[in-house]
Amino acid sequence: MSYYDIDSIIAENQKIPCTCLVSIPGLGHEGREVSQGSKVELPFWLAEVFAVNSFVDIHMPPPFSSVVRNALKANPNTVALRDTTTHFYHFAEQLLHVVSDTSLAEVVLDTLRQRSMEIADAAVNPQGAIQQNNSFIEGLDDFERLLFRLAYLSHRDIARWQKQN
Amino acid sequence: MSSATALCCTLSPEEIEFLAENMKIEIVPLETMDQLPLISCTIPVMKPPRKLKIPLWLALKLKTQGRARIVPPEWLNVATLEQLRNEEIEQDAFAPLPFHWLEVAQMLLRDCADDMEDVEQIQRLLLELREARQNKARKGLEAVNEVQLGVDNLGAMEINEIRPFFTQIMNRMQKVVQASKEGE
Repeated sequence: MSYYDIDSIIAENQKIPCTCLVSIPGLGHEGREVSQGSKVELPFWLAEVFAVNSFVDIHMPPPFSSVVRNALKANPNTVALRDTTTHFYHFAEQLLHVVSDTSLAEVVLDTLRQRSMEIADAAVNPQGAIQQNNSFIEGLDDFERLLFRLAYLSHRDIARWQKQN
Repeated sequence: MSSATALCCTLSPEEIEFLAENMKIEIVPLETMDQLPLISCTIPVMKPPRKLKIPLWLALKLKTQGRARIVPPEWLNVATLEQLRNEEIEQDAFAPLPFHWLEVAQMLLRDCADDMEDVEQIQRLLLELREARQNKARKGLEAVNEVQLGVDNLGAMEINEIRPFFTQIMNRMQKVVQASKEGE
């Protein structure tokens, strides 16, 4: 969660639905006041500070809704994580700092574990993987893309080294 | 992420090969040579046909110059490799191969094939071993957690291959577990 890390900035910018516990001036359209009890969507970095000070109540954001969670529990490899958010794992980590939800942590860990196997397989032959399994590759979030790239680079380097003899 | 970040995570195969070249290997010198006092070690006097052990990098150099013959290490023959391969296929754990088996085998097959017997069979066995171990490493992903990873009997090159992938996953898992513990 470092201040200048681009991934952090993007992940923290995710909108999250909140309910105001008090009236908050300046938050509304054109600086108007937002009355108590109304629902707003705030970026996470703002919602976090408000929630810690008990100005708002935060609700589960769409990427971690029960619909997505059930889909992930059933078969993580068929879910296009990128459609929920580009920084799924990063956002989950930051949300877990504020919210206590062990089942979310378990779902996230299991998802990562299972999808990483698919990623490792696909990285051995990216061209073939893109042809056969395009929806999976396109549905990878940013962290998974990094994993894909790392696996591919390691594999390519060793293959190159073995071939030079 | 740029490839520069990827480079920081791990060593290149050539670097692993370089580290492997420090291993001692037995040679049969074909010419006499005086003692060589080097910084890392002192190479003893060479009098053919007396065998002696020298570092691999020097052995390969002498071999390519035609001044020595290599004695293959005791694990690099058909019988031992077949036994190891059978062990690899039957058990879930990794068979006990030497730490630098992949690099040493490749270098010896490249430069000293004439000093070894049944080179083609050895190559085939090495390929089978490598594939079996790769499959096992991939299956190890099922059990990855944020705390530890068992890499018993894995070779240097193989560890290097999985290092960036696994460490990134484990770091990410560690952060999620840490955050969920804090949130409680």
